[in-house]
Amino acid sequence: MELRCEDITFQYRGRPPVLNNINVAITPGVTGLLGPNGAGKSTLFSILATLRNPTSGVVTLDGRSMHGPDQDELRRSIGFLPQRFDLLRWSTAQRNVAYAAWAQGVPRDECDAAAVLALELVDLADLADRRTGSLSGGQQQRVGIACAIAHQPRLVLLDEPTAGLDPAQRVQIRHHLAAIAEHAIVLLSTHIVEDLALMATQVVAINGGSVVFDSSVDALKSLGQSHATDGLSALESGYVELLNGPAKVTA
Amino acid sequence: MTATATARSGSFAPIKPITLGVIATFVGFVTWTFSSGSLPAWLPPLWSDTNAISRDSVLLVGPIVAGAGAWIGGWRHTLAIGPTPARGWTAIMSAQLRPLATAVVAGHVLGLTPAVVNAAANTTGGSANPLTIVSGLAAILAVTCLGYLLGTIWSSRIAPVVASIAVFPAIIGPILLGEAVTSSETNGTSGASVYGVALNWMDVTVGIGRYETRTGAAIRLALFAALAGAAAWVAVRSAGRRDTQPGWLAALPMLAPAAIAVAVLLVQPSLVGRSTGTGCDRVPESQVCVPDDVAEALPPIARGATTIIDQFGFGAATSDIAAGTPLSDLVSFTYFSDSPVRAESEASISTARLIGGELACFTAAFSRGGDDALNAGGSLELSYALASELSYAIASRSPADQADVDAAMFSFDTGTARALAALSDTELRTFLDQHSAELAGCTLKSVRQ
Repeated sequence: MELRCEDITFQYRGRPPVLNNINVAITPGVTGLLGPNGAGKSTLFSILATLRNPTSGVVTLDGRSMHGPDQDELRRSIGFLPQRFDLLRWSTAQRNVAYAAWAQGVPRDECDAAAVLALELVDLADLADRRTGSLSGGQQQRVGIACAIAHQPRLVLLDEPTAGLDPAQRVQIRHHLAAIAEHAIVLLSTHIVEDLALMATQVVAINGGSVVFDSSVDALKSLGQSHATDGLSALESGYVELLNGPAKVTA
Repeated sequence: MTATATARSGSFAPIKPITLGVIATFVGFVTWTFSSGSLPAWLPPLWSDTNAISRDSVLLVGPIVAGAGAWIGGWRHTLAIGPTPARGWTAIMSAQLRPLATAVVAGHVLGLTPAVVNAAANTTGGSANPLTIVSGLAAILAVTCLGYLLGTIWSSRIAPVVASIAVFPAIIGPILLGEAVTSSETNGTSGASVYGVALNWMDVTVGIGRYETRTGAAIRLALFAALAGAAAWVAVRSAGRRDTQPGWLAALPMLAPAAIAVAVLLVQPSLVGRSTGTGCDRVPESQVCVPDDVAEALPPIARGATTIIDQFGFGAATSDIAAGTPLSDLVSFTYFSDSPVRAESEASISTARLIGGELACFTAAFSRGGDDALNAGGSLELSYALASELSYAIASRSPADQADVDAAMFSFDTGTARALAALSDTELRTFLDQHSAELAGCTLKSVRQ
């Protein structure tokens, strides 16, 4: 299983490129996508989610173009949780997830079972019958993740899934994502580099529309240790160094 | 997490059945409420009342339905199902809209049922106008889809309110356009989208009837169907591929109803032209328009009026009734003896109206059928108006209750009534005798001609 971006460029008509020759290959596990605001993360996510077509280049999942004739079929392999989402607040967690599963192509009579499985993965099986409006922010976030994975996608795209959560909730989310990543490619867009330390197998950093880092967490740590900055962890220092320095690191 | 779901089957509507039931009940209640106001006054023609309810109740039901559509439409961009669900937005929108549409249609039909049952029980012929009923349903579906579309634009918290207000022009627009186009069809009456046969009798054009024309209903049906289709199409198209199609381009289909409206206005003369003509005889400055089917109803009216006059005389008829003679006794002398009687008042004015109603409704409507006859040219209203004019002419000769008669003449101030009232008894009887054949033969001419 491999997600591959080859020479991906995207630009709005008459404007400078938002993405410029993106080349990355991502395998199962958690991959962190780092970058400052405006770096192009959201645009890349929307391309990977097949919401947008790249201006040039190709994105493949197991060798099949995601923007070609197989797009409809490949969309069933994608689970996408936007940064901002809402749930049917008057409906139960299970019904929300079952509905998301149905929307992603799961047969109607299998949706409830798929929802139960997904809720178990995010440790919410006990709250399956609770109205989502009565759940905490962290629990709602996990319901959202369950929605994204209920149809058992091969590619899971999560945009800032831990934003706004307290540390304990973030730890929970990390554990759940690590479990999900055992069987899928999980691409995680985040500003919180510490989230990546415990679960990411790969880190891709984008700045100014270009990939400036594509390697392991340890490589990012090493970069930080060699440019230690007061008050920041090694990972954070490495990230800051990426944004400030001209260095381009790829595995 | 190894298998990827690929099968597509079944539908999933996140809206609960009980919620749909509440919506259906509410829509039905509002529709019924709209019709119940006219229940006490449900004198014939009953089918036309039913048709009017189907059309006009949308004005009340539409904003409610649009609000519900917007509420559900708001789910699309708030659910955690991502922007590119594999099942596709068409299937998802269908799953969301179909239960709602079913509920509102069911509610509308349920709300109409009392009117239909009443009409069916009290008429021996005719039916609801299918085109009017269908256009009413199309209107409900259109505002549902439009509300849904608006719900996809705004959040589900404000969209229902916005949609409830914003759809009102979409509801009233097609109705007004239909009225505007068919107003010339009504030959100078103020009937707007209703059918009015212009009877030129004694050189006076009388506005008769308020009935939906097929043209008006067809225009509404086309516009509402186009609106529903355009709104649904835009809602689906605007959900994906945002980079390949600018938003304004995706909204272009919303111009379809406007294009149809322009087309309707452009071909307006031919639309109107097709529905006049039959049985009409053009005379200077106006028409004598008595469709062939109407002619069948006219001889009994003329005979009935003549019988009344023969039995009671012009003055005696209403004065006897005013003194307490049951109307059933009166009509037993006439052609309409087997008809039910609704003597609501013994005042001469009411009596005169009832005579007119008896003359018209129990001959034209009950014996020949409501809208079938109406679609053929408005015989019911024509008959009613004709009989009413005669009745008032008779009533005006009553020595009793002259004040009431004068008041009635004031409220029923048509040229024909005044012309008839100005005739002497002998002249009126002579007029009826002379023109019975013309009425029956659809050859009534201007007196002056």
